[in-house]
Amino acid sequence: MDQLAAQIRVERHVKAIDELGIPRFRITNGPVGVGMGDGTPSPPATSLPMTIGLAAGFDPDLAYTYGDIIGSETATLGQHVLEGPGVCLHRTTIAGRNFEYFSEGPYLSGVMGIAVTNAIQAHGVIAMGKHYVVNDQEYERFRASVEVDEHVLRELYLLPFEMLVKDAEIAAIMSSYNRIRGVYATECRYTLTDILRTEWGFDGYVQSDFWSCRSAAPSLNAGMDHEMPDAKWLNETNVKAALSDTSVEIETIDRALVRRSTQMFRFGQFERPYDPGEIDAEAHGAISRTIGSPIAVLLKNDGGLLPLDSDVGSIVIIGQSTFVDEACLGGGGSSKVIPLYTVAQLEGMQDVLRNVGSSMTVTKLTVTDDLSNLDEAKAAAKGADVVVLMAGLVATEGADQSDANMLNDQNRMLGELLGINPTTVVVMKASNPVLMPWIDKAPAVLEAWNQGTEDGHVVADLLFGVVNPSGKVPTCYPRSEDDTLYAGKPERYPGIDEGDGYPVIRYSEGLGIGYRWFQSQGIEPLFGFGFGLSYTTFEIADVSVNAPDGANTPVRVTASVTNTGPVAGAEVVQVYLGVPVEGQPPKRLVGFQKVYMEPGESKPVTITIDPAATNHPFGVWDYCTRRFVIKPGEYTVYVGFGRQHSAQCHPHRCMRLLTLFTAGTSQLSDTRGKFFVAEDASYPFSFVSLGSASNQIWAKRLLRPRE
Amino acid sequence: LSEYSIPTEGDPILSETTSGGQDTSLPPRERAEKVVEAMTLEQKIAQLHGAMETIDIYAITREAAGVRGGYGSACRPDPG
Repeated sequence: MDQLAAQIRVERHVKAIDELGIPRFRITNGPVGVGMGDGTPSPPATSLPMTIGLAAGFDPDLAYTYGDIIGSETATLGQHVLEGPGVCLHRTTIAGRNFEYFSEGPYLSGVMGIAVTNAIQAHGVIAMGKHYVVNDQEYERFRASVEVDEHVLRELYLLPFEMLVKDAEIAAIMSSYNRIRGVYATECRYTLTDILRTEWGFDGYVQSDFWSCRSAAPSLNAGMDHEMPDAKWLNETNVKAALSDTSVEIETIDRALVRRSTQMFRFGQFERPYDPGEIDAEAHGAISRTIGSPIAVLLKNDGGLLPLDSDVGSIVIIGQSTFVDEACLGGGGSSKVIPLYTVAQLEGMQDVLRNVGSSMTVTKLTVTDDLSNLDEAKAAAKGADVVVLMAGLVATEGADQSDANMLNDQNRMLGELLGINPTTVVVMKASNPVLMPWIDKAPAVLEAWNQGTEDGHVVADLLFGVVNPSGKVPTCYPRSEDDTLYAGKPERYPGIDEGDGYPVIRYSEGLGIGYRWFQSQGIEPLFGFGFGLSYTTFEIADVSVNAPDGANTPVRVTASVTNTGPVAGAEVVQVYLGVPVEGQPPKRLVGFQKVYMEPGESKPVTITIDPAATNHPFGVWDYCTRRFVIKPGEYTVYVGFGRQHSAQCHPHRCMRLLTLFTAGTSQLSDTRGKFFVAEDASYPFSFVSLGSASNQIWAKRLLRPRE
Repeated sequence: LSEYSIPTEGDPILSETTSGGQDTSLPPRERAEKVVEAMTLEQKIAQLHGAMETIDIYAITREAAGVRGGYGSACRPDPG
């Protein structure tokens, strides 16, 4: 395996053709920094926070900054392609590659992916959306087949890819390992050509995931244009044989090459000399620190324990080695970034305390993975003024977690250490939402994610209030694994061999993944999507929804947000839509905006829900017309933010409800395909869609005032 | 293969077409078409794939993982 890893690192390229002026085409992995790239040895780069953490920022500007670092470093290192962003969804919280993906929500994933892609491609680097598609688990990823209903595929799993293609004009897509309805993704013409190119207008090229190519002619004919990392299938013998037996035509080969070359010309890569430079490690590390701090999610903060007073005597950091001895760099596998430098926890905390003029002493106790020195840890906790327990999870490509718990008995470690000292906070460094059976014993919990190179500084900034956390949960934390969509459903995960010799994964939960699952099932997660506390407080007021022409024109949601607390901070206004179609989950995220404010400051917020947007905010997939349509009915808009919700409260239930609009029946004539809102509609209200004349009776029934 | 009229290495038409892709006044797609047109079949095939030495990843990882399916399978061996 070491030899394999070495080969992957140093052979990420396509050979040059000097006489034609075609450069060696250099490809590096992402999406959490410039990972294994073409070079000997693979070049180091800034190790950024994991993608799931970036999504927690709910901040496209921050995502652009993140992509800017990646794009800049890719170009500096002379590479042409960055294999990212990854926009598969967190269908389960145990999937090994969730840390490379943004969220359980397709809209949030798409918005963040667009920002990252735009930033990468602004540097003349080809961005590559991956892993197309339904590559949502690692277990048997090379062989498993996903069976998914078309509306589920369209409304959830394809949606962020559609957004990347249409809004970011992403130059490349990576086809995944798995089968889709029995067909390998690299041979699936339906997804690679019919949807990607014919429907969405994708003009770039499709690259295989490493070794996901399974054939020559079928792959090329389906729309897979480039095999990586080797020529197992698209070698001279196979391709010439295919030409000879006419299973592939030269025009198809030309098509594949033109697609990739076009993108290379688009980004000026033929004219760019190979001249790798040096990354400004310190400057980019500083930016990584500014990205990493606000994306942390304050999950619990009883009595305002956080931020810590920086001058209370002694503090002890306790945890297992992965989380306290070195910087927690993040997930394993092909996306691993070789860092330019790292800031370990003790060093980072001492730096930050020094900068704020604190004389506080900091010590560290490393708990062995077998907990054999737990008594020593208990004594240390008892003797300190402040205890910071650190725990977490570093997931890896190639393997899902065996369950949703942290490894090495960390739950027992925390359970036994919590309660010893009342001034104890828990810092989570996770790459997936994990179970927290000890949550009731913990007064304060901060999710800091796998931070990367600046881990030590970021966590200290947060603990001592240098930065106010403003992240929101991007993927629900289940209270129990029994609450998950796969509990007792092996056909959903990990899949069952139904007779073909490979696992079939049935997405029979339909649209019910993530918060959609919890809400449709009436289950309260431990921490729901969009939830996150702050060191300050916010109020939202003057909420209104302006829909002058229903969904024919953009709907505008406006509100005023005020920072009513003592310190600067940021809050995320979230807009959800209740779509009145049978089978739809109660709510879907359709808009959000993050607002940074000084104490006492108020800011207006305007969030536009555009019916023509690529995320189809009002749309559902229609099997008859094979397109997204807006169905008639009464739509409900939910506006709010998650800060005020306790861990025991489902965030969106507490959101302000804007509904109960009644339109005059005179407005029902000539209503085909239009939305209407009464002119005198006053808060609270909703609006009504009338899809066709035949729906008018049904629509009238809907228009009765609610009780 | 001659029926496809594909230039091969040493074909005199090759040298006449090599500069087409370098015309920066052309849009990217046209430049791409010209540079592909200038390639021999062997060059085209070489451009279809990465340059890493071919290995049997599935066999290697299956052996490493010790389970059926190999790399990507060393987890959740018991459904449910």
